[in-house]
Amino acid sequence: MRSHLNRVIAFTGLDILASFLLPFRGKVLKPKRRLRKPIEPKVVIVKSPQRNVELMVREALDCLGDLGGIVCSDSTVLIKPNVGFSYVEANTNPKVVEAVVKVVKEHSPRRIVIAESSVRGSDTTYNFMVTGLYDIARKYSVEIVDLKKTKDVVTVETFGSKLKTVRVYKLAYEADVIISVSKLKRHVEAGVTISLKNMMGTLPDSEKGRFHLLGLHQCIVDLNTVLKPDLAVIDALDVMTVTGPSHGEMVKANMVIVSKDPVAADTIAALELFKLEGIDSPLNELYKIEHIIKAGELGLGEANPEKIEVLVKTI
Amino acid sequence: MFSSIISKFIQYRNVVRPPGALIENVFLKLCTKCGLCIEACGIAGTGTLEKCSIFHGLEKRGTPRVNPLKAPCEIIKGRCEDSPPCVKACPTGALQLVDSSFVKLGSVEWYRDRCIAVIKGGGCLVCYEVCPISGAIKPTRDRIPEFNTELCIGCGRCVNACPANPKALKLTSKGAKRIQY
Repeated sequence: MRSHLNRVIAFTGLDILASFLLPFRGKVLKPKRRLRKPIEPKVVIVKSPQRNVELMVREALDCLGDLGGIVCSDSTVLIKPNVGFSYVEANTNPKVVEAVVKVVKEHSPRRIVIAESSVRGSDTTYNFMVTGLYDIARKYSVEIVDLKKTKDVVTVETFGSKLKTVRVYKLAYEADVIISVSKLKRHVEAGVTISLKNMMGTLPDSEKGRFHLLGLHQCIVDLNTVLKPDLAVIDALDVMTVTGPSHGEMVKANMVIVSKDPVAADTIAALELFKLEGIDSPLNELYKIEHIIKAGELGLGEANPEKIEVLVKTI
Repeated sequence: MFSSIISKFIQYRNVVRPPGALIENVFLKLCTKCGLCIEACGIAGTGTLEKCSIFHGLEKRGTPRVNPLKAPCEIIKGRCEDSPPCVKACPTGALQLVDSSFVKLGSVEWYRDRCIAVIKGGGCLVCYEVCPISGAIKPTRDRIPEFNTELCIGCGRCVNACPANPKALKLTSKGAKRIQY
């Protein structure tokens, strides 16, 4: 049917008309957030068997240094949790999001927004409701946005090799600071889904499909050249191992991993995940996760575990 | 050409009903085509229901059907799990409240030649990601999805999410569990 339609369009000359009109459909924006100079690759892991989440997040951020370097009084802060599914175990623990909101609020930025666009075909509003993020947003009076309902999309140039342009939600593009609050999970196609993969939640559904068509690993890296998290907070309280991202074996790890370098955070978190799974050589497994390795090669952060400074604390 | 028309016709006759629908001949007698279930689905549900067109058959025209291309039906592990709005809205009892273990709207059909994972040799598996039933879709060793039509409940999440164009998946009413009256 579609091929017939294409033939009709070609025959009537509509495609020539369309080629004239298409350039005016939307303009391509330059990336607002330039590739910053490499930050010192320091990762903080805080373990707490008692699961005092707020204390864990505070301790981790204190060890990293001041948040004030990232969050200013005139900045718009985008907190991007992983709320992809309607099953709570596959989403970021709301307590971690709550702790992050609380800490960010103390720095009194101009605007704090919690935003997410769930996996294709899933209703983000319902997922927010099930996970309990609406209550948190109301409690601390911060904005919470279902990106799928905003429909405000901009086209942005990337510094990547495969994607030349990418369509992202305007809210994510305009944010000054992006804080990724991801969950440590296995992913069937990307290997693991942590901070870098978490940024796919700022894309409209059609773009997510295009990523799968073009090759997921390279596209994740290219997207992160435009929208790189300034702070990566990884919820590893309950880790989804073996399979993912929707169903897997849940392991209690009681950890929160924090870094200003998302690639370093992902590297260390992935190694922790492989250790939990009981894999003999976690390093070899890490080299199979192409998007982390490629992000390291492109200079988005440090992907070599030997060069990353890891600080482990137990409360 | 002629056979394709017939097969298309048969596909059209194959209507996926909302959850809790009675067996087809009774359903058609009870359904008054008021459209309340469709309205309720749009407001409180996901908005998957729509009216059958005349191509689905004269007697079925106006009755509700699940269209996964609009949205999936979230009767299992979703927003309609506790109280399906379509069932609540039904004034005649053509749709009945059923236990979640009984829900099976149909099953999904896979077109191998359209699947991105088959064409590119891995690199998709979005259907596996979004499937709410563990075990209904499994990735094989070649990173190709494998469908278990018995476990599949026919919610249409995978059909909605499939990034292939044309879609590599189709929702059919094959194996649907319907209430005997």
